Amino acid sequence: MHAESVVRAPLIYGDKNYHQITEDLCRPIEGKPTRLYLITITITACLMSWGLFMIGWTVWFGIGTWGLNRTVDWGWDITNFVWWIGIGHAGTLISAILLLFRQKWRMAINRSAEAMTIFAVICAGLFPIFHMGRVWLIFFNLPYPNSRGPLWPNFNSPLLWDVFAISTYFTVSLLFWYTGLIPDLATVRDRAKKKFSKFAYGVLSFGWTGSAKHWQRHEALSLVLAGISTPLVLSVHTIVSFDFATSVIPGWHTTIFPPYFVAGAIFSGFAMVLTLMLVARKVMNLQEYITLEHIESMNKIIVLTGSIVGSAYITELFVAWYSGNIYEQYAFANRALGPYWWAYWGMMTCNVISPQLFWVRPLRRNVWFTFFMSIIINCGMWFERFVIIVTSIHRDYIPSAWSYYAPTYVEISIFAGTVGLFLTAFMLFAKTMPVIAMAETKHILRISGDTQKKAAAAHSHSHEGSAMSFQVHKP
Amino acid sequence: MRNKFLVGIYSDEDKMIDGVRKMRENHMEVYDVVSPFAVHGLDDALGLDESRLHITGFIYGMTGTTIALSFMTWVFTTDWPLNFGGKPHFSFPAFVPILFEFTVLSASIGMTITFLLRSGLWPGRIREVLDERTTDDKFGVVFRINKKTTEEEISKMKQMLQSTGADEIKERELKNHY
Amino acid sequence: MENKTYWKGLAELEETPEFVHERDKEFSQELPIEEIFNSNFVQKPRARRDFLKMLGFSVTAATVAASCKIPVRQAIPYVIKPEEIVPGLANYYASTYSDGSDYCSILVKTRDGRPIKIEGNSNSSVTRGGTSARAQASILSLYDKARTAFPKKGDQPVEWTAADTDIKTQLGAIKTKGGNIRILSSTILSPSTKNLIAEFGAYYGNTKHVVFEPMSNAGILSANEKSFGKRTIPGYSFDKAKVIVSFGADFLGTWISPIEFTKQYVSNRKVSKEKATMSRHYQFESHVSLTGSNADKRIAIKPSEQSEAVIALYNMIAGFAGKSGVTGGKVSDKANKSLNKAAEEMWANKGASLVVCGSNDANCQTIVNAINDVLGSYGSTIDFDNSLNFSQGFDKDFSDLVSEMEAGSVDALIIYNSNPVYSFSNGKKFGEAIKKVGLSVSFNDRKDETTSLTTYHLPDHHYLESWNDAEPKAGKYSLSQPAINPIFNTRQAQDSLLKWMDSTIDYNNYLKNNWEKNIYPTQTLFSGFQSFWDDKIRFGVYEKATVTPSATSFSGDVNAAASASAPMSAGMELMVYESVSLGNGKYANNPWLLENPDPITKVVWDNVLMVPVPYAKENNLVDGDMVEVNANGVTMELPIVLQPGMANNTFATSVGLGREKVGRAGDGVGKNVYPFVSMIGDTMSYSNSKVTVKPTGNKYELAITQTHGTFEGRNVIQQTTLSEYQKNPKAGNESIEEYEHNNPITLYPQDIHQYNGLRWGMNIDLNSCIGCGACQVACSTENNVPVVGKDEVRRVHEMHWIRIDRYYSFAGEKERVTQESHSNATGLGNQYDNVKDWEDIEVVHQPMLCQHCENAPCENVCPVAATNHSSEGLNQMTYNRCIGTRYCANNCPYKVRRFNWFDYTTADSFPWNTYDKSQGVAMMIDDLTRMVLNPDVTVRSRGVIEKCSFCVQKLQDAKLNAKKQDRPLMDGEARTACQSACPADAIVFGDVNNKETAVSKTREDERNYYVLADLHVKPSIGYMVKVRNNENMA
Repeated sequence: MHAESVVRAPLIYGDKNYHQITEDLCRPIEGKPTRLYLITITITACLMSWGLFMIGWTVWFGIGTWGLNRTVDWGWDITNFVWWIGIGHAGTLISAILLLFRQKWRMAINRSAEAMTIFAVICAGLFPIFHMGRVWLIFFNLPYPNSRGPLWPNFNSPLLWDVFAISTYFTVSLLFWYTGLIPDLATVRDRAKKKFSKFAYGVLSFGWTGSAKHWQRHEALSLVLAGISTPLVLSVHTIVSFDFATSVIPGWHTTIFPPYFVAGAIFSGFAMVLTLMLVARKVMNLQEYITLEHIESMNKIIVLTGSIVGSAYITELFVAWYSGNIYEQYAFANRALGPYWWAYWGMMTCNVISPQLFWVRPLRRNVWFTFFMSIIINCGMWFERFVIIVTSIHRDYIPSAWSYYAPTYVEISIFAGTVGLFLTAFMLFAKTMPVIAMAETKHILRISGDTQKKAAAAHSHSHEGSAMSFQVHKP
Repeated sequence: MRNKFLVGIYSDEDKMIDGVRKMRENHMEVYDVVSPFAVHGLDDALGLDESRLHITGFIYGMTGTTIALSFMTWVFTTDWPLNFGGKPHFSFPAFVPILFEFTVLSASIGMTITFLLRSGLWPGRIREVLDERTTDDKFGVVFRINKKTTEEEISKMKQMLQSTGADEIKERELKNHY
Repeated sequence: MENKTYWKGLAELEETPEFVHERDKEFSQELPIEEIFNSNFVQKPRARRDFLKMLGFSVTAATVAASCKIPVRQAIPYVIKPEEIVPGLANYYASTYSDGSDYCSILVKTRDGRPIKIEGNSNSSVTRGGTSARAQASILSLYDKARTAFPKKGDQPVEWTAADTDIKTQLGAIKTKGGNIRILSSTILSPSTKNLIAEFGAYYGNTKHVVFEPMSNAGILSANEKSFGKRTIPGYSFDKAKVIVSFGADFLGTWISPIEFTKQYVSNRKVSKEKATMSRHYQFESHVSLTGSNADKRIAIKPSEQSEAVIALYNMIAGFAGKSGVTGGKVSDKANKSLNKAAEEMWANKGASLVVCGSNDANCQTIVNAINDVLGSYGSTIDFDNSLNFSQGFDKDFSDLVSEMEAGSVDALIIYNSNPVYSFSNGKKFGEAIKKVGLSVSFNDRKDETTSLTTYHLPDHHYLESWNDAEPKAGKYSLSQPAINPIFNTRQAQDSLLKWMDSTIDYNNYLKNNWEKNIYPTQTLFSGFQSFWDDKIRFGVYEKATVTPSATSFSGDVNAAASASAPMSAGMELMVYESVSLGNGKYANNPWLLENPDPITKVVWDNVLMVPVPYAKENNLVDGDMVEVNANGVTMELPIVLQPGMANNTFATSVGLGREKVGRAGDGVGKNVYPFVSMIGDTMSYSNSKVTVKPTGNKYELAITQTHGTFEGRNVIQQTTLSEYQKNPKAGNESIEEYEHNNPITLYPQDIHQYNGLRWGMNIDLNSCIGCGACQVACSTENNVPVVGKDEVRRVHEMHWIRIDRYYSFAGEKERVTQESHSNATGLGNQYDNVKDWEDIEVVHQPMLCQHCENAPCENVCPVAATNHSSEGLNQMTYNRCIGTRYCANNCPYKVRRFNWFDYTTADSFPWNTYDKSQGVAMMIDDLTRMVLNPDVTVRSRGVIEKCSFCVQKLQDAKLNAKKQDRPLMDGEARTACQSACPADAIVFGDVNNKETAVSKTREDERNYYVLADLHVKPSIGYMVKVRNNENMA
């Protein structure tokens, strides 16, 4: 049996046993929805419907209902797309990369993080779809055999790469998430009293019984999926960044984009995970499963990625000056001092300066501060995308074509709608499926459970303990 | 008669694993073990050989790569060679992203489907469970009982389960093989 | 036997009220159609049934109305095909666009009987194949629904015969009682029409023909009368002039004969290694005119300073000639310096210099004549032997007419193509006066401000429906022939006159006879008249040999003129000028012209008050502020535009808008500023002193197509000076070496894409382009480019495939300022720092269109391969493949790709979802107006990107012709619309693989450069460095 160093803080508090865990994690699903829950989901659903209506409005009348113009052909649409995709990166990242690094603390959050990924990617996908002038011809993107003579998409186009990247990312995340869910769904099935829910969860759990061979294959699958998801998650935002990096527009045409976008994505993704988890933790009182250790480790990653992003900004400025390219220089001068100066400085404050506060341990472990910061960071990352997209094209090469862009109520509504969609979906998920991976939590209980650790520590001499701890640090 | 099973329910996975080891030392054929989570060390206790799922994954992936590369090359060089911004027809660097994405896609979809089929799991598949607690906090060691199994064999299993610390032992007959 | 009455039930027998009520309810009432038409119906509460009835009625009515339009008949295939018409092939008819002082000899392109495009006619020595924006757009007014469709008496339709008999009897009565008949028209270039009017006058007696020009040159006419005894406008030769001095004469834009003058002017502005010389052009003006923007030296002077400046120049010239000067001539030092320079240079080029003046003040013009006389310009750059017939309006005649009318002594007034109620400063007064006239007849094409006050409205044909001739210049004749059957029940004005003279022949024959009698004898080439006539109809023009100009003796009184001319006045001044594209306002219902940006302000769909920047700064005004202008006793609220280059203390605004009765597109667009025109002495004056302007605090959102004024010192524009160029032909184009060196360096394998056979390329000469905007309209016409309306342009949604970028550079500390400061956080306001002198600007016009890059960035990024490269080097768009991601537009460094934001053309997959129903759009999607669409070009639907295609349909056409005649394509055979429309021959186009073509030669030229060459996108369009002849002009 594995044991873990006593110095390492437990990941599960309270006197838990396997059954207790099942009880705790199934309670939200089996209980009746609270009044608060109902009110909230009504609000978010209304928001969602309004957004969908505005999408319909756009499709019927045309993109002209947005604030875009002959110079700025992408505005809030692609900004929101990149923003959502960024958020969608945390889930797979947590499950995949942290799984490869054997980070046990991931288990408290990976399930909901993956769910969040899926919903975020859905929101993201809406924008590139409905920013098309003729969305009803979207199938032109697909390389399907057709009767129009040889007629295929353009495989050189970063937008087509996006089509493949996003759909792949969505599919893989979905598989990863769902295969992980199957055993827990089986648990819910076997606890279900009502006939319907027994049937429903029966259907959903694919007839899982927990047979040893199944568990073995299941582990193999998760490991390999994790393995390929890791480069995938990095590739997706890299490809998104190609939309800009491969262009000729000063401020877009930048080789630093791929790493910089990926870091930004993790940055914003973790922030969004925190936003949701801190709420879920409180509402579904899961404090014993989502502990300060979890929050702190997340905050550490935020400091790291935040600093990467920050240094990327500085590098951009330096390169613009160092390249001696007047267009590049103007583009960046214009970012900082031009009509959109507020977006630039908003980005700088939210993304570069404020996360540095997480170097202070008490702040890292302060729930309220973390929540506040997670919001700030998400705003900052939104600004970043806006700055990159809009301020670069609104004043590019030919001065006569320069113009200004401001969104219309339609664009704003659609964005609000996606937020509504995201929250609605997440709340439905939280009410119908275990937000914390039960099986995995049970798996680590013996090792990282509070009581279990104490017990282990009790009847073992200190040097043995240290020896053990030494041994478990091996991968 | 053929879907008859003897199940010993454990509440401590360590006891269960030791038990399984002992049973196999005594040349008893443990049919299966059902558990609420993947128990470490169970595989070799049961003497399961390693899963070959990752190999299939690799094969699917490579197939994906080949298909994508050959298709794009055929389209741009043979079927529909167009001049896009003066780029070469076979512009390999531009193919890389799609190559990669398609590889990952085929690998993961292929693997998952293989996993589900291989383990006989699919939407709506309803299996009778031997004991509902085995998805909660109990571990069940399963013996299969068929015509040939003699009474003393059964009793041997029972007392072996008992001796290795099973809280509870029960015989179950399922309508169909699980 | 008495017939019995049967009844069902007692109720019917007794006819109880309830029963009656029930019975009436049982069956529906009549359709209340009369009610619908009588006005008070609207107030009545409508029952549901009535609503349904009205609905049914209106639907039926609409169906009926819609199904009986004449053009629809043409959709029926020919039973017996006319031999000249091949469906799908275009026919070209030589004709003449002549309207008031507008003139252009043209070819009309017709497709299946519909005129769809105007091309210049190169046979004419006057316009030499050049066109203007108005000439190009005139085709649209043929299909203008606002034209009156049938003769009217008051508001009621009337039969032609009835109208004729009535009018004839009335005219007869007037004749017998010896009453006065007046014919009011704009300038008439047609000799036959002039004859006809003369004959008409002779027939009825006491008839006078009054010509009214809203933007008049009466000053020149009377000055010439005084100076030379000839009340004519002489011919000018800007090509012969080495030094040109213009006092506010916008001869490239609006003055007298712009197309002709442009041709002459640019012929002496093009430079090459062979001919490294060009004319030198001083422009003394108050607002920034199109001409001023092309001058080598612009000196901003107040309107009232103009005469002073002219006098000053005279005194200097006189000084050189040893003559005595005249009194006056106090001008600012700046102006004085430049005047000195100009005087010296002109004296040095005696006989090869030219002074023109836009003033309408006879005295001022007399002095100008004197200057030209001293310089010996008469006989060389100016001559009366080839005089011009434009702008014959003699303001005094008109003011006399008005007073006659007011006195009630005019019995019949016949108005032909003139609209004084709108275009006369005191239109109201004229409107009142019309009421005093017994019989008033208007031939105007629509029920405009004036026509709506006349007794009879007998609409004239559109010029494309009529026979006519024109003599713009002495001895230079050209013919108009109908290119289509009359669309409406209209009749040519000349025919009406003939009818009233009891003449038996129609105007066509009258025209023929007139030519046979007066013009045929003047030539010897043709033996028979018919052959002569046929030939001239075919070629459109007949020109006598140009008379070698004879010197004329000047007999004007300079001193009198000088002392009579008013001194410079203090305070703010306002000047009124003619809009380059809209002219005097007749075409205010033409969406193409309304959406054609003003060459200087780049404002569309409005006329604004140009305000000098310093004034705006000290009164902290910004673009779009509304101000109340008070001048000439008139107060008007106008939006302002901060205009660099304006003379300080001077405002300017343009006529041509503010029509009330012109049609759905033009009604209420802009303001009518004619009331600012004042009558001084016998001539109209277009400037006012003692002007007050006060902000009203209101804001107005202007529709401006270019909001950034400088080129930020980027290699978008490359320019040099003549002397630099003479020293080194590569001057200003040094970066070309680097480009030529780097050009072959590429990551791609070499020659992967062969462009064998044809490869199209273009070259645009920045020295020639004057920025008039004719190409923009031509492009829209040829390529069905949609009109989007004012609101959409406000939202920066304009669709022009070719735009003309206008950049300023300012007098700075050392060199000229071409950069705005980066600290311009307000974004749209033009905040130029370190500009020292706001009056001293240089302007450059740059046509910008798709560059058809060899390494086009737009092509790589299209996910569906809707845009790619053709084997002839064209960057081509496949509209029906486009899904509208707009990625290409983002990735275009030149920002020339246009997206169909809304369903501007009703070509959308969804019907009835036109979001923006602004006037212009509504007019353009009208069934009749759509007759103007070019069938060779797809009408783009909502949600697709479009852009310049190098007029690929024309290229294909040219190639097909060559193929049919089994010969290689000749250079210059395939011409783009912008190229053939250009009056300045600034655009060269052709095959760059063939080293002999004109465009290949321009590529060899040292001046050739590529915009943003350093991006290595390898554009197919080269530009020629702008060379300014502007050293030491003080």
